[in-house]
Amino acid sequence: MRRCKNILLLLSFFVAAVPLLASGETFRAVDFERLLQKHPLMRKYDPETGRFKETRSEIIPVAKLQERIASISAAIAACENEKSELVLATMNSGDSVSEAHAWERIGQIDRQLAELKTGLQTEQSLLADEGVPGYDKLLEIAGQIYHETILPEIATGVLLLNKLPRFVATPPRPAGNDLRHFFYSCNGEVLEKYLTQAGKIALMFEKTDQPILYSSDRGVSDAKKQ
Amino acid sequence: MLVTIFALMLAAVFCGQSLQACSLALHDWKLIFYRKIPVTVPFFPLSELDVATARLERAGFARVFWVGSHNFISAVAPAFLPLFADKAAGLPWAAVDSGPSLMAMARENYCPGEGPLIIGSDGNYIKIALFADQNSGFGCMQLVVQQTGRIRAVHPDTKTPWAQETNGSSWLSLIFYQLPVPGRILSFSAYPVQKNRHSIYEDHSYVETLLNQRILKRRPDLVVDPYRFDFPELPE
Repeated sequence: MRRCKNILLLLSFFVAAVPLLASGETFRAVDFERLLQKHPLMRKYDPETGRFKETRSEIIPVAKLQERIASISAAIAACENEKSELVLATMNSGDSVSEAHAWERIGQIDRQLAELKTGLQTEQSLLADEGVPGYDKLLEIAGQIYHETILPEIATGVLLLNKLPRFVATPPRPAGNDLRHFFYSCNGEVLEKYLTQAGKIALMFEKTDQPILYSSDRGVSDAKKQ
Repeated sequence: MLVTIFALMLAAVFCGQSLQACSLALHDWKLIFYRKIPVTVPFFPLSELDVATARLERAGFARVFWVGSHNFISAVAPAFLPLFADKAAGLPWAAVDSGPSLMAMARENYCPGEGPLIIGSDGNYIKIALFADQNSGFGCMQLVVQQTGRIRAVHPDTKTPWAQETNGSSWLSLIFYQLPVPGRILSFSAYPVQKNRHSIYEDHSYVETLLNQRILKRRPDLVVDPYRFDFPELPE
């Protein structure tokens, strides 16, 4: 019975693979690890924190954040004071020319204040997460690396199979709201689609933890050479 | 290490899809009609109310002078402000015809005690836009009426005199299926009310019916912000 099952599995492989091989199509393994290592951002990767140094994903010490918040708050207070003095002077002058100048300056200060307040809000929310930026900051960088390493490999006519390798990943330290963000943002449909196909892929390829490119064009450069 | 980055890259791919959605349906709004009309004064001071409330949270004032070349609608609009929950909506608002400058009015009202907040705007426009939802075969539509303008406010507070210049934007949005008539309206909302979009009317059962009939596209369950209702930015 078991032997029959194995023969059937083997046959199912030939049913899928033989027509493809006969038509001159190619499968090739992709060493994404090597591609990732070559990316300039990888030099900034800190394995201890799971984040990239000198980017928005970097963990900021709480003391440094408090310092930044104090500095922004002082700048806001200075802007407000300047505006207050300007308003008082303009009201007292009663001159339409100085009034026009005053409004121009008030507009400038308000734009500056808006920027400062946005910055303050960012720093305060980062402080609330003890200096750990959310996964969205990490995803920005991961997305950039993806666009610059994997996308060129899966150019027109090339399919990336098995793009969810079966390995255990140690996640970077999450920020406070990251878990909630993850559950609300991941596209479950895509994952489900992959999982329904995972069995078929396993039948065709021995190592399903290895990303594989399928191409109908033999002229596509082999990623292994890179 | 690389495994973690790879996993993150995958997550970036899955999460990087932009979505324009109401709470149940996924819309892809296409602009099909647009008009921009200059007006002397906004019809309803929603943005002004927002500015006044923000100031009231930091300093007290007893009343608001809304300065502008008022028409009949704008002159009676303040009477409807108490319907809103914004803090400054509870204060008396007086529609004052524009004469002397805001600073001159502030000078006249500069005295000890809680002075008024003087607020006005220029460069006012009413933008009317009609969007159709490509995901519903252009059957579902959104009518947007937006007011924009440059708002200036002065508070002649004796402790800390204050003024602000900001770009105001307020809008009403009506989402309907085929015709804007009772029974076909999906939602009616306004912005800003307490700094947020406020839903005045929503017909969830009608939306559910359209979703079940596959007229509207169902929003995926797992979306970052299930309460995002916005429309694409209107042209200048």
